[in-house]
Order: sequence, then C-alpha cells, then structure tokens
Amino acid sequence: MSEATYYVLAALLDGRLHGYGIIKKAEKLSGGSAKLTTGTLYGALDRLSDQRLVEPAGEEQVEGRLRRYYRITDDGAEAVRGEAERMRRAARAVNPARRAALQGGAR
Amino acid sequence: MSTPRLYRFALRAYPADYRAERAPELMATLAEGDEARGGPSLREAASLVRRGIALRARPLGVPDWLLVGAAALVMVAFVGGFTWAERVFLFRGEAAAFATDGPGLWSALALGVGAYVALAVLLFGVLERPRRIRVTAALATPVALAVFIAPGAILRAGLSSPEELLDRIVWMAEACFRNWPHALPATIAAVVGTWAALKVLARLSPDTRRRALSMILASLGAVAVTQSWLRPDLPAEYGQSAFADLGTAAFLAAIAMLLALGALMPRHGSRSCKHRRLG
Repeated sequence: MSEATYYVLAALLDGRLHGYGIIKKAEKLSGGSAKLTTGTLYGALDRLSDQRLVEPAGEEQVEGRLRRYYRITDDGAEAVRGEAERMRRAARAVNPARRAALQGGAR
Repeated sequence: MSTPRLYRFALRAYPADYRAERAPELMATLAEGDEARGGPSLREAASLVRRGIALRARPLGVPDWLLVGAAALVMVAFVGGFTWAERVFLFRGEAAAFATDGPGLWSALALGVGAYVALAVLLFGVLERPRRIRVTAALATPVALAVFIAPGAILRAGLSSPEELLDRIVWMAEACFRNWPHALPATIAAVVGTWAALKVLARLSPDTRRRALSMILASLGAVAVTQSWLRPDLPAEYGQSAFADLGTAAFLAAIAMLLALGALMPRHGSRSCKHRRLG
C-alpha cells in the first residue's frame, strides 16, 4: 500500500469527505508529510474504487462547485487497519526497549 | 469559476471520456487547493499530466516485463547504432579489431547507459510502474547488452573449428585484461544486470516468466544475427551493405512484433479507467 493510498483510506475512517477534504485531512493526519496533489488523489481514488475499498457517497454543489463525496467500505477499513498493524509491528523491530528485552532473553 | 490555463492545458493529458466525466470534480478540487495556496501550482499541473498519460497507457495493457524487454531492445539498438556510426567515422570502412580494442566502447556504453536510465525512469515513472520495476528496468539493460552483443562478436569472428574458438576466447580474455579500463564498466554492468534480471524473473508468475524467457531467447537470436551484420568493421566479403538493411529490417520487425504481442495480450488486474459507478 503506497503512502498516498494509506492516508486516503485513513482520512476517510471518520466519515465521508470530498476531494479537497481528503487532501487536507491526509496532510493533517500525516503531520504534513503527505501532501497529495489532485492527480495523485484521483489516481488513488480510482484504484481504491476498483478494489471496492472506497465508494461514492453522494454529491452536492457548493458555491457553484461540484463536490463529490467518498466513503470507506468495510473492506477498506479492514485493509487500512491491517496495514497500520503491519507498520506497528515493523516499527517495533527498531524499538530500543524491545531490542534490549530480546537480547536479555537470548542470553 | 474559471480554471487557470495551466490546469486546462494539463487536463488535456487525460483521455477524453475520463475528462468528460471527471473534469468538473477535478477542477473543483484544484480550485480549493489554489484558494488555500494563493494561486495555481506547477506541481499540481505536472501531477495531472503524469496521471493523464498513465490513464491513456493503461488500456494498451502492456505488461511490465514487456516494457522492460522493449526498453532493453531500444537500448541495444541505440548503443549498437552509436558504436556503428562512430566506427564508420573513425575507420571509414577499414577492418578494425574486436570491440574491446575499440576506442569508442567506453564512451558508447556511458552515453547509452545514461540515455537509457533517463529513458527508463521517465517511461516507467510516467506509466506509474512501482519503483521496483523502474529500478529493475534501468539495471536490466546492461545484461541485455552483454547477452546480445557477445554472440554477435563470436559470429563475427567467423569460427571454423573448436581450436579456433578456444584461441579466440584466450585472445579476447587477454585483450580484455590488457584493456581492463574498457572492460570494467561492462563487467560491473553485466554482474549487476544479471542479478537484477534474476530478481525480477523470480518475482514473476511462472506463466509470465516462461513468456519473458522465450521473448529474451527470440530477440537474442534476432539481435545476434543483426549485430554480426550491422558492423562496418567487417571485411568487405561479409557483404555488410546489403545485409545491414536486411538486418535492420529484421530487428525493427522483431521489436514491432513484440510490441504488437504486448498490445494483444490480456490486461492484468481489473483496473478500469472509467467510473460508471460514480455516474
């Protein structure tokens, strides 16, 4: 799962958002590291829609602009939580306390 | 709402049907970003162009391995052509020695590899292939070079007996040793390229692997024969002028055939560039 895909899914966990809403939320959630462009965002949304990890959730006109909303599916929520768990385990591999504990056990 | 000309121009990279369906949404998202930023952004425009080209390329269904193979063939043609042109200029038809003695091999390799890396990174980056594929594509070429050019060199030597072959190998090894600065980059490239090619082959499905291997073998034959004819540093009795055209034609036909094969192959995955569900 690419960083962009991950943060798009993560952004949608709390409910439906429109395109720019996803960009803003992803940037906030990532502490500023995931700056999605419109091209990248819609590339990720196209792929995620094909895999049924996100789905359209209505549209409205705001100030003459089209807002199309997206929401995460159950499969999508499962996928992003699975990825988060995988990364949590991967992060533990470089955790000093855990490394020390493992070394103690090996002696 | 007016869309900056920059974005309108960039959006032209997208296929017309996708644009017709999604442009209002894309423009609205771009406009919100511009408001927050205070103006249009080149980064946004570049990303639109990239994504648009990728969407256009996808329905062609060209699989990764074929792209790697086609790019490698282009590279071989490029380096071959460059070496050839250079030799025409330097020797004006005189019979010259083996490639290891050629003064231009080093520069031809450097120029060719440089151009290829740029080409591979651009091509695979634009087509949104994963980084793994892009890196492999850039690294796989040197091995293609080594594999394609070596049989040509052996054919060119016009061997008639096993003793002669042995003599030639010893002679070539000795020439390589004597000219080690010339041979070094090609050797390093061959080792790295072989490793990279094996890595990518190991990751392909058995079916794709079989097709990739048969493609490599088929093009190896075509290029080996072409290479042995395309060189002007051969004695005149090899009849290079008549056969060079034939060889070039055969080579181009092989590339065209492979590309056609790729276009006809079923697409992998079920990605679709249309979003009827959203309509």
